[in-house]
Amino acid sequence: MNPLIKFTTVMIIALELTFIKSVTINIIVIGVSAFLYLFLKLSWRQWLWLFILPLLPGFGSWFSLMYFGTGDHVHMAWVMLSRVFAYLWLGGLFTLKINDERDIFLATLEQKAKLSATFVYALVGVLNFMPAVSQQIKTIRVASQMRGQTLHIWQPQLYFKAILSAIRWSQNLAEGMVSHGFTEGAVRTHLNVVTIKKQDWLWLIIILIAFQLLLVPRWY
Amino acid sequence: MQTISKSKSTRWALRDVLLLAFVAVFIGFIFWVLGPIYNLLSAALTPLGLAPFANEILLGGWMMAAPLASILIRQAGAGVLGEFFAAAVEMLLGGQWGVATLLSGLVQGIGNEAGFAVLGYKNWGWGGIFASAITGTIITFIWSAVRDGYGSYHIGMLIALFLTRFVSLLFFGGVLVVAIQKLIEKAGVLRRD
Amino acid sequence: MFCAVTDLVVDHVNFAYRETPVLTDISLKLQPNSFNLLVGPSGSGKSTLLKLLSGLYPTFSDGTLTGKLTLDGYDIHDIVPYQRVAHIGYLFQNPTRQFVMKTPFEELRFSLENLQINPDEIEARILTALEKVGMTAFMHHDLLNLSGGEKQKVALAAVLAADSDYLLLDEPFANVDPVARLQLIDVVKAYQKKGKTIVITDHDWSGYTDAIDDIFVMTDGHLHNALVDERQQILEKVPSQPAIHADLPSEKKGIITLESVSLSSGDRTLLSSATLPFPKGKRILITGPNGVGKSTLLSALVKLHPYSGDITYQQQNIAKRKIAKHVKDVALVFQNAEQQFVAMTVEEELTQAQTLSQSPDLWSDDTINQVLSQLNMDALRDHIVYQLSGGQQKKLQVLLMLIIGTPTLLFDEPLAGLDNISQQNMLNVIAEFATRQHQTIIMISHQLHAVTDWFDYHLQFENQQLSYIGGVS
Repeated sequence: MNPLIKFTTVMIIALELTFIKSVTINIIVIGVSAFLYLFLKLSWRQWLWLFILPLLPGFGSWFSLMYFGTGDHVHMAWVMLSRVFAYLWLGGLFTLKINDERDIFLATLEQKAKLSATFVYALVGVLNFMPAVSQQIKTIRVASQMRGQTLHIWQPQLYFKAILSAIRWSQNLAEGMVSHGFTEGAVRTHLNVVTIKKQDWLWLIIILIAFQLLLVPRWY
Repeated sequence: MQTISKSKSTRWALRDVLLLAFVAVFIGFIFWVLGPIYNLLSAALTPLGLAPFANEILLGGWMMAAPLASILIRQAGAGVLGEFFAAAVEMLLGGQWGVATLLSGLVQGIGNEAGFAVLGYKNWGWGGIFASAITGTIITFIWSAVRDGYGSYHIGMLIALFLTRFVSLLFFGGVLVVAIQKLIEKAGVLRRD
Repeated sequence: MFCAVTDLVVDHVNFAYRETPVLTDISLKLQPNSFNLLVGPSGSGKSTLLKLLSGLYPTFSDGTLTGKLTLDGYDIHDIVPYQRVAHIGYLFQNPTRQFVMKTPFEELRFSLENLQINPDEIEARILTALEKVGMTAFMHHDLLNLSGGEKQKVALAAVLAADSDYLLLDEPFANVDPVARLQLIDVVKAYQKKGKTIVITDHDWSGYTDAIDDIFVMTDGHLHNALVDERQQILEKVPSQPAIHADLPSEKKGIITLESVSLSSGDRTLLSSATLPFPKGKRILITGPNGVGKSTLLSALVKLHPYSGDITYQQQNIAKRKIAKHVKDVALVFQNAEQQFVAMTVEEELTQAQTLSQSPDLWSDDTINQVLSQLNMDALRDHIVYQLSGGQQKKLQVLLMLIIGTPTLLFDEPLAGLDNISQQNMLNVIAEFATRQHQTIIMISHQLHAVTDWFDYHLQFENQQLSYIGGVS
């Protein structure tokens, strides 16, 4: 399935889940996701990730709602606990594969969703610079420690230095891109032309309709 | 031959978009460092039923990209875009919450930007910054009422959560951003054409 | 061969940053299908001229341009980039600055897609260009992990693939080894034979003197075409690598010691199992090709880059030292000066450093005043540090770090971008105060002419090995 189609499907359902107060629906979403994971060949680390990660925020909400809730708060506590799992398991269908599918996702955004190449390549450029960014934040702190001054997270100087780097780097990257002929608003050709299969669209429609039908019994 | 002045000018200049993107990831990284601290705090507060406060305290920091983007670019949409970039990069790197991050990133960006919009996108100084902290608190709080089940809390708990979030946004998104803006202006490192 | 040659005109061009002129009244005529050499001391304005010709300046600078700089009658910087690059290709002096993508293949693809090359042609063009520079094997490697020379080859492949009429090359062979150098020279010559015009800046033209048609000389922002005599003089000048006079260390112990230390960048090994001391109170020079790992080594010494093996500071393993404490003993003067400022004005910076100095008695107001005038900085006290020129920032940064007085100071290319006089002044200041504060100095530098007799020891970093050289003189 094309990652952008998958993303859209996941995004729409996640948005709907935000407004649905139903433990049953959440569990169905978790169950279907779990079924799909069987075909995705996850590593044991990823399974662990799926089980452990929602625990903290899930129970965080659960305890608070049990202690400090009002009205149907007990029901809501269970909704929140299951919702956190549902969000993560549903989202994981997209995120756990993103490392393999990132390029095609971005290419689809540019070629099919007609997102401006300026935005797409800003994302691409920044992603390529990520390792350097984390190193730079470290460097900023150490460089001022060498001057005998420690920059803390509540001090504007830390952010000022970070923004200064952002200003310099963005200008350098822009210059690099333009030196390669990148032109805002101009047509580009594509070595790999992205096509979205008809069946991808079909799946999108089927899944979304099926999900709406699930809501008919009004479980909330 | 085609020249730039004759070709259609795009509303979002390459350099501005790249600046937004870099500001977003730099700020994002500063706060990712806090991830483990957040988890500890949150875990410690969980049995007391106070876990949401861990989120409230740090939310202002996570939302800083939006007001910073607005004051740097001074254009409608900058705040939303800044926060959106932060969330999109996190998602594309395979961040824990992926798609959910993108949704809340959008809400946070809109919330923050609303402050500048209310003032007609004319005030990019402390007035606009504090207005954005206020609208940011209100709009994200409404989102939390729905998504995080805040609607089912006791009124006392609600007020406490709201105030904590407001203070966090006032500090990170208000006081700190105003101070950062002063430094940037004084250093004269930003070119505005 | 017939070629639709476009007409590049440079007529009475001036370029200035605020009040400082960089280029003055420059006119230039390039013969069609010629090979042109642009020479001149560093800082004379060669790179600025190339960036103007490429159309990146004045857009990507703070400078102002007057005069006529046109391609077929259009202002160069006004032409849309994808058409401009189709006519004028430009290779940055620092290839890292030019890279946008993650791998060589993607980098070239990005460029060709921008130029709206037919998709059927793109892959073949990429492969041909990478093959010409001998980088096919690295096609899908991470650009970050390539050596300086490899990066330069990829950057050259990118401009070759664009197939522009004019090719502007800013020191394209600076980082490559002698064998690769000859290979790349052949590639550029062959490119010219296709009917193209080449402009090259370089300090060393051995290997292609026969190909040169015109020589342009840049002095202090003024340009002239070398006439017969001058041309002869330039071509006969053989660039010499100055000899560094240094001894082999007799000390077995050092203030910092490496024990089986290895460094890598991604999957590329930079240093393999080095064991050696950095003797206390000495001045030690590190030289080696670009991208060999010199900066990475300094980063490792201040715990900013991972390593394997043991690095000790005064017999303490630095892995066990907190970074905040460690950098009170070993500090790095970063290549990028801006990174090390903590205040707004020169005055504030100096006061801050004075307050935190490890030798407060030495750094009286008088001393600082005297050094400031020695560095020709005394009129700048109330200036904003971010508004200073690159050279002024560098001088200020070095002074500030000297005032802090950290026992071991590491310098990453402190002399780059400074003129000869400033280099000497800076070295004198460092020498005086390092001696008075008993500091150990470890410095990376390429400005060898300035430092032939300045160092006690000389470390050579090459082929993953780090070793002291010199002695018997």
